[in-house]
Amino acid sequence: MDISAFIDAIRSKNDKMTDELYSLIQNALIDYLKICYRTPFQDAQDAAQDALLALIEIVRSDRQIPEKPEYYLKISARNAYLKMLRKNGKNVGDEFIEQLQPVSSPEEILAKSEMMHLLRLCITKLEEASRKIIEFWLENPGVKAEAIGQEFNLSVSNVWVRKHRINKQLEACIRKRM
Amino acid sequence: MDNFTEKELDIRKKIDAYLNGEMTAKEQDDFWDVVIGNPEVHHSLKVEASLRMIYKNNSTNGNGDKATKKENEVIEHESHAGEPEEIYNVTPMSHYKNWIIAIAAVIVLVIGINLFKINSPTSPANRVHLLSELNMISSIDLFAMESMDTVRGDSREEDPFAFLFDRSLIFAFSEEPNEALKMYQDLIDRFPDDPRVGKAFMNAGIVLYNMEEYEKAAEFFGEAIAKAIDDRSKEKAWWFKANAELVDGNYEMARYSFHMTFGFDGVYRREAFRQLRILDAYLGYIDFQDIEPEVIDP
Repeated sequence: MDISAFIDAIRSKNDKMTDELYSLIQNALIDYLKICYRTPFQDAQDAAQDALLALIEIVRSDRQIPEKPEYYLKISARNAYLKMLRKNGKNVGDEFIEQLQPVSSPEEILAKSEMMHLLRLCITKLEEASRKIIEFWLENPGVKAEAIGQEFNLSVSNVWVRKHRINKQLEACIRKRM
Repeated sequence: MDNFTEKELDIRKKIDAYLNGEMTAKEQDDFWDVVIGNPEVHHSLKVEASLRMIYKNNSTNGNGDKATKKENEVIEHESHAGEPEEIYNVTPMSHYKNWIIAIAAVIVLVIGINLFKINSPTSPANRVHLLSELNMISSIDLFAMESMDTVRGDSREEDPFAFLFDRSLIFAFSEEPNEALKMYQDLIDRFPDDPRVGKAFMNAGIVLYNMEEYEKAAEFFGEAIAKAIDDRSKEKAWWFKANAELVDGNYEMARYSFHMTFGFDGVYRREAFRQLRILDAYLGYIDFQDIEPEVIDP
């Protein structure tokens, strides 16, 4: 399910689906602003909402839909935040924007405590071989797939396949329990 | 069986690269387009970030028992990839690869002949030194806890044991050990004949160990051994029992439990052997001089 499903839901007046996707996309936009522009949560939420409402308005009024709606949302949310800053008397020039460096550890913003609790449980449910791979991967931050392949006697492409399969299992496990 | 596409794999790699800080500003910007446009990718990103935070926290707060961990060969693999973080793994790594091969041939003989204490025990000074060489596990990594089965195809509603077991794990991982213990006791009381009850004893033992209730933990590990359904579980329970007794200062019992662990020829064999040899010398079953130098300085 991607952003085209959101646009379809708005067009077909499927309110339930629209609300559901609205919330998911808003969360992604909030994380984007918090990470890339160090935006406080409340401001990020408001800016994301402004961007989404603008897109909904475009779809509902049958205007030309942006070629890349996700890009449109990203830039709209960012501009909405900058507008808020200007409104509060900040001198938001190029220099200021350049100073808005992304946070150095995005995982600290992206990680959710409830998800972490559930993940600890879900990891225990993995098959032993999978658990060993994922533990090795995470215990060695930044480790290359080549090194993992060497450790577990797997080809590099197989390492990624295994990693993807394990993550999918964990993602499904979390979704089931959240 | 795998019903995923190259595109999915590509996204997985991008998530990894993004969180590793390996993307240029432009790549990061493009990556966020993908995340914003696809809630599934955002979910995957959050899951990966949460996973990393679990391990980051473990290495920061000492839950991983840094103090007892020695440099291991795992770290060598990532020497080019930023600062390694040390995490104690309850599964002994191959720290002693070099020496273990050399002495493997005499192991059976050594174990066999050390049934009685020798007449010329290790000197008191050396005995104190030996104690400092023992690896004391201050806490057991919760990832060592037993679980019911794999993620796929479980139906908890029809299996009250599994349902309660799942909940107990949540409490254990949520740092609510007393609640977890209550649940394990409940499982033990309600399902004494369930073949999986050994797992409840094992996990309760781990929780108790981490609460520094070593004597009680050893008792639970003892029950876990009695109720274990396979050798893997038995070996693990003997290993933890040995460690609980060791930290509790019950060296004779710890020696016996390490001996039993060693007998399984499993993942704990190497470390059990090392601990066993040091205890052999400490307790006077062999002389300090007879202990292999590699055991002390692997």
